This record gives sequence, C-alpha cells and structure tokens, in this order.
Amino acid sequence: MSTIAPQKNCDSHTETLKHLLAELSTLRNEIEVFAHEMLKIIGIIIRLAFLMKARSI
Amino acid sequence: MRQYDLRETQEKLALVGLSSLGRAESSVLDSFDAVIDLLARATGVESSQTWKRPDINSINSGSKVLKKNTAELFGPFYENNTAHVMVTMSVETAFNYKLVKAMLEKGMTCARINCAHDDVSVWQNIISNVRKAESETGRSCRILMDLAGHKLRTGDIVLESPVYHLKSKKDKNGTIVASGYLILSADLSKTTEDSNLFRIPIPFGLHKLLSPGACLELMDMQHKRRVLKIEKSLSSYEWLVSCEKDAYIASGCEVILQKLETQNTKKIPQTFNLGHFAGEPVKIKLEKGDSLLLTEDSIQGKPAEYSSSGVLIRPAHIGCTLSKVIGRLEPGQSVWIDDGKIGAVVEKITGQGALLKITSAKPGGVRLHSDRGLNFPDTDLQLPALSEKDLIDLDFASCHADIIGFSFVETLADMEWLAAEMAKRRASALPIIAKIETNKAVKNLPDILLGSLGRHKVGVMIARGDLAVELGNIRLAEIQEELLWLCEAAHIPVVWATQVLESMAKKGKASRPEFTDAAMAARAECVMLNKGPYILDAIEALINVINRMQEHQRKKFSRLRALHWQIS
Repeated sequence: MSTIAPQKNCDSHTETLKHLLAELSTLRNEIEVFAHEMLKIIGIIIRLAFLMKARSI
Repeated sequence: MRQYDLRETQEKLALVGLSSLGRAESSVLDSFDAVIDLLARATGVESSQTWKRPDINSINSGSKVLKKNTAELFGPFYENNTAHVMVTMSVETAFNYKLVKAMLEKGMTCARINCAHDDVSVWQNIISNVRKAESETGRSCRILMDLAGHKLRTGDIVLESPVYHLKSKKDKNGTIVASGYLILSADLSKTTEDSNLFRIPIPFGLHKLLSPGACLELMDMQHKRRVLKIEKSLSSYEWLVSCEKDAYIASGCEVILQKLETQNTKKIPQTFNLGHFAGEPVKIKLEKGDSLLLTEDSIQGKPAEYSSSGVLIRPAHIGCTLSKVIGRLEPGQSVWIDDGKIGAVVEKITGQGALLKITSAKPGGVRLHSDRGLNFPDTDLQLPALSEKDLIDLDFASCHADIIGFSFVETLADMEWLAAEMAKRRASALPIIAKIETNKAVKNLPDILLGSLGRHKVGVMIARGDLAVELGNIRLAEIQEELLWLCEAAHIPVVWATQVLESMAKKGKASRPEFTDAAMAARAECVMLNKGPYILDAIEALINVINRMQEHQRKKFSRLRALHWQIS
C-alpha cells in the first residue's frame, strides 16, 4: 500500500466532503419546498373534487 | 428531484464512496438525509438540523408502499414467482376452459380482455372460465377490461372482381408437383376444420350429392376446363377438394357434377352454381414520395390512377374511420399508418380530404390495408377520452372486471371523467390502469399521477405499440425508462406491455433480443403477454427469465449475487 501524506490529503478530502454536504443540503431543501408545494396542490385538487361531488349530490 | 441534473454530484458522491442517489426515486428525502447525515458526521460539521437523522424504515417505506399498491392491484404472487403476468385473452379462451386453467397454473395472475374485440357474450364466457379456474386451482387471477378508446383506422378498400386463384405447387422448372386445395362448404358459419384453405360456399343440393372421388367440372376465367376432385369429407358440411392445375374460379360460376359410375347407376351429369364469395381488396402500394389522399370513411380506398402516358390523374386514396379528424389536420403535421410501417406528412387540406406525402416506407413499397391503425402525433385531435362504445362497455366492465384499463388517456381531466363514470356505476373501488400511449400522455403523466394519488387505485401501462409510433422507436427506449422511474417515485405499479416474447407466443420460439427485453421488463411490477397459440410456453419462459433477473436486479438495485456460470 502506498503511504499518503496524511494532513494535506485529509484536509482536501474534508473540503470535498464539506462542499458535497453544502450542495446536497441546498438541493434537499429545494426538493422539500417543492414537495410541500405539490402536497398543497394535491390537497386543493382533492378538496375541489369533494366539493364538486358534494354539489352533484 | 429529477428536475435537477444531478450527474456531476453523483460522480463526486461515488468517488468518495457514498450512495450516488441513483435509486432514490421511491424515498427521495430520506435518501438525501442518509447521505447528508454521513457527510456531516465525516466532516464534523455541526448539524443545523435542516435534515432529519435517517431512519432505515423510512428509507424503505417507498418500496413498501409500492409493494402494497401492487398487491392491491394484482393480488398475491404464487410459489417463488416474483412478477405478475398479464395475458391478453384470445377468443379461444372463451370456449377452451382447459387452456384458461393451464394459463393460471403456469403463472398468469391477470387476464386482459380487450374490449376492441368480440362482444359481451365472449367476454362473459372468458370471465366465467377464469373464475372457475381460480376456484379449481386456488390461484387468484384479476380480470382487466380494457376500454378500447376511439377507433382511428384506415377505411375499406374497393374489392377486386371476385375470382379465386387456386394455385397448384410447381418446382423451379414450372412443372406441377402437387395439386392445389380448397374447401367447399355447405354452411360457412359451421367451419369445424381449423384450416387456412380458401372456402367456397356451395348449395345444399350439391352438398348432398358429393362423395369422395366425385368430380366437379368448370370453365375458369381463363376459359380453361378445370376439374375439382372431392378428396374427403372434413365435417358434416365441408369437403376437401383438389385441382391438379391452376384455376381462376369466379364467384357463383357453373359447375358440372360428374359422379362416379357404379354397376347399377349411369353417369348423369348435373349442373349447379357455386355460391358467391367476396373479392380481395385491390392492391394499394405506397412508396416514398407517393401521394395519398386521406378521405372521410364513406369513400372506399383505391390505388392511384395514371393516364396512358403515365401521368398521375388521381392519387391513391383511403378513408379514415373517424372522418372529423381530417378537419383537425394541418400542413406539415406527421401521420403514421399501420403501426408506423408508412410515414407521411400532411401536404395540404383539400375539399376531398388531407393530401399526404409519403416520407417513409420500406424500399419496394408497402401495401396499404384496410382496418390498420392511424396515428397523428402532432395533431390535437380534440377527441373525448371515452367514446360512446367505451361508456357502453363500462356498464359491463363495472360489474364484472377487477380492473379498468383506460386506453389513450392523456390528461388528469380524462382520469376524472372515467372516475366519475365509474362512480355513476357504483364502481369507484375498482382500480384504473392508465395506458400511456401518446406523446401528450407522457408529458402529462406527473399531473395524472399526482392528481390520482390517494383518490383512486391506479396503475400505469407502458403501451409501447402506439407509444413507439408516436415517439419513434429510438426515443421509446429512453421514455419507457423515464415512465418506469416516475411511477416508482409515485409508488405506482407499472405494466410493461406490447410485443413481450411476441415470437414465442405466436410462433413458439423467441428471438434473443426478445429475451433481453423480457429481462428488462422484470423491473416493472407486471408484464403483459399478447395472445398466441404458444401462450403457455411464453408464460413459462417469461416467469423463468423474470425469476432469474430478480436475483440480479430489483428495480434499479443491482444485487451482487455471487457469479456463477453453471448451466441450470
């Protein structure tokens, strides 16, 4: 096995992981916001459908 | 999630040894949280708690929901099978109970009745046979009744004068080596012999006088004397007949019965007329660059007409079974005929119809037939999603089916309409399988799925026949993948349909790429086979392939089973 200069590599690796963490956290939050919006829309559709059904009865 | 291009991020995640989220569809946020949590622990970054601590149960919850929805739609699996097999029922299954029972025993878990064919009495017989087989085998089999949608097909073609060319067999030198055969029938409604031989009706009076060895003389359309020899009786109504030479037999032509002389009877010739039969449709052959006029349905199709000097007088024309569609076409829009065998573009709209220019046809031309599919992928046809026939068929399906198939559904409003019609028939509890077969349906699928979630039990069928015509074969492979993953994200079961092991079901032997396609189908929750004489072999082969593939792949998850090369 090759010997790696520990400190320098460790730092750059940690930086890469930190960047990934930031990137994924941003993405995750955007997806969560989108999912909530979608749920709201589905809720509206379901409510409208119930209203229409109620009217037809 | 799939609105973002994540490829670069995926590469980076894979490089540091983390999940690249390639299988996140069924539990997006939980999968993100799991990776974020690991990254936070590895970097020592204090959690700002925008993500949750991952929970193994919640990561698997998506696939559990999909399993539950699949079981609700198609019922349980049997023995070690890992896929549901849907089979399109042939008319034979209405009258052959043993076949239906064998299909269930082989592993069919859903019987599909295509409402485009047959009628209520045939459907009723099929359903009775399936229910009886369920009770005898102890295996459950759902019944899907597929509403056909609008019939967009080519209209009738003018018939040639009714003459049947009876051909003898010749060797490469043109020497006759075997007689030609046909069947004479006293009642065409009672054909018992399963034969492709041409049948000519005969009067009952003649039928009563026939016996093996008797001969019928006739003058054919080439003014040649020909003799039809009665070979044997096929049933109480049918006779197998041979002719040593080629004969052009006209409908209703005169024949003279020459009975064999016996010791006590004299040879007395008697004259009869053969019954009438229809002529073949005239040949309309289309090549790239030809013109074709698409007319209203009432006009029968004819080939192009040319002057004696070869100048085109009138292009070939063919009717469209839904005439109103022609008014919606615009120049430049594409038209596909006969499952995409002929491609065309609308050149102009005339008083007689839409003039098409053929842009795609195999070298040597393609024969245009009646009753072949028409696709208009660029045109908003403005057709209601349910035809009048669909609504009539729904009356029956609501009472007898376990699942309703919805052909050519394109929008959420279409789904709402069907759901409302089902509610009127007190059939709201029945699941709907949305058949995705147009470009518009692909675009609207997220809306259809999101709008249906939690309200109706829904499945999606990737109906690759019309979809391939609409999108083109090249794009089909890509789109069927997208549909598969979109449905997984919504936890909705998918039926992989059209031409799966087609040669196996129809001819008894599948090509190698067909097995590869069947293996790809293992990622769907149900695979559909079309009818064919070798359907039992096809069911067995499909289940074999799927069971093997499940050892290596579950949805997108590549399973690292130890490799083995033993043949088993």
